[in-house]
Formats: sequence, C-alpha cells, structure tokens
Amino acid sequence: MISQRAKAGFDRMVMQGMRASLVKPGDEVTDLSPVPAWGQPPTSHAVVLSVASLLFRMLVVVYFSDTPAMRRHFAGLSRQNAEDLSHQAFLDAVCEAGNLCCGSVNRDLGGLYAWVGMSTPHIVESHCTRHLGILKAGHLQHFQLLLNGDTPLHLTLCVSESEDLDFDFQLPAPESQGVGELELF
Amino acid sequence: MAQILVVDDSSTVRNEVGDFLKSNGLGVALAVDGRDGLSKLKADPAVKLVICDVNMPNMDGLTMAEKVRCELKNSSVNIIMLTTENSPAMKERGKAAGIKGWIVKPFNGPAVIGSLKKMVA
Repeated sequence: MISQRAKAGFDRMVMQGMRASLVKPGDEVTDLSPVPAWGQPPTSHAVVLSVASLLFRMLVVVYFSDTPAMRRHFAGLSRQNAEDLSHQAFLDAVCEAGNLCCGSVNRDLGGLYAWVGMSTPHIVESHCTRHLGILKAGHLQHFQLLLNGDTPLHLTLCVSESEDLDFDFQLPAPESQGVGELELF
Repeated sequence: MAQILVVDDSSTVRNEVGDFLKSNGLGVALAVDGRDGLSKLKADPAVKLVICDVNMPNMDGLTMAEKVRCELKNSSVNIIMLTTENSPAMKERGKAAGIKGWIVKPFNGPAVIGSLKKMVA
C-alpha cells in the first residue's frame, strides 16, 4: 500500500519535473495539475521511462504526437529550430525532455530510497498505455500541463509497490538543487 | 583533432553540447554510448577531456570511465559526467574511477566553459 502522503509526494515530484523540463524559458504555465483518466490516449505516441528500487517500480509516460505545435515546443526546449528537425531529431528531443523530467523525479527519490536506478527512454504507441491498469499499480495518476494556451502536454505516473511505501516529500528550495553546475572532485 | 569527446546516447545533447563547445573554439568528437566512446578515445589520443552521460545503452558512462583507466591505461584524460543522476553512490563510483567532476543536466554551457577550457589547456 502507498500512503496518501507518499502519493502526494510522488505527484509533487512529477509536477516539479514537468515544470523544470517541459516548460521553455518565457512560457507561462497556466495550469499544471492532476487530471482524471482519459478515455482515449491524448496523443499518438509516448515516451516511457522507468525508475526501479528494491521497494517499487515506477513508470513515467510523456505523451506526444508529431504535430507542428509539438515540434515547435520540443524544438524550443532543446534550443533547436523546428524547421530543421528531422523526424528522428524530433523523437530524440522528446526523449531527452522525458529523460530530464524522469531524472528530476529520480533525484528526488534518491534522497528517500537507496539504490534507485533509472532507464533510458523508449517510444511506444500511446494505445499501449491502456494496459497500465493491469500492472495493479498502487498509484496511477495523470497530469496535464497548459502553457500560454499552446497545445497541452500530458504525463502519466504509474507506481507499483512491492512493500508499503510511506514518506513525506516537500519541494526543495530551487537554489539547493545545483542543476547545471560543475561539481569538481 | 578533437580536444573534447562528448559521449551521450541522445543526439539532442550531443549536438547541443558539441555545438556550444565548437562555438567556443574547441575541437569536438562525438560518441553515441560508452562502447563507442571507448573506441573513439583509443583512436584519438589527443583528446584531453571526456564529457560523458551515465545512463546509456550498450555501455554506461561509469563503466566506460573505469575501462578508460583499466583497459586503455589512460590516466591523463579528464572525465566529467553530464547526467540527470545525482546519487552519492554513483559519485563515489565515479571518484574511484578517477573522474574529475559531475554536472547535473540540463547543460548550462556559459556556467562551465571556463572550467572546461582549463581542463583542455
């Protein structure tokens, strides 16, 4: 079983990761919140990453389609021109955005659990995500990110626990995260 | 001749980091995973700095760093990890392999270019 405060902690980690990795500089977040399950997947494809520990397995699913609006968004995130992106480069930009988002969650979990490991990204057709329910997840939550009225972005979090999970996670201060700095040994 | 080898399975990261370094006058070679990085480093002894991801297919970055020291017997090249990971256990493994530093993604070129230039001087 996953406690209510642990579920809330997972959600905070994911929303922090979305804000840090899926929002371009200059974009305004008009809404970032958990949403009810959708009947149909919101896009044609998704990037799936996993985080595994001794106590749980977690999937982070970032949805996308190869549309002009999504191309503009993910090109902007990776500081590239949408017009210059091949299909493969677009897929790679989406994968890297998912990698940064899941990586942020992975770092937060690393502060709570030892031996947390993260996968590389994999692209699937989004209808595969209808099968997430059979994983008997202790926590299955969908999120929506709205930016300046631009195309919405969606993410699903799926946590399957092998033992009871209970933790209290609060967002760290931004200056304590040290992202982008060189730590010399 | 390349001064810096950038190793990452993401072409987005390889191009972003590589283009930034080139725009700062540095010679750059690219590799797609640890196995490719090891091969390119072996073929180009002029490389003075490796900037390397951790989580990659075929061979991860920490294994590559260990093989650079143990198999290539290259103790002089500087190695920096550029990764989403930040766990103390991974950093300890990296230190044991003689890596020089750690950067948590995303890459912020202007913040680190001074240190990188010193490492290839």
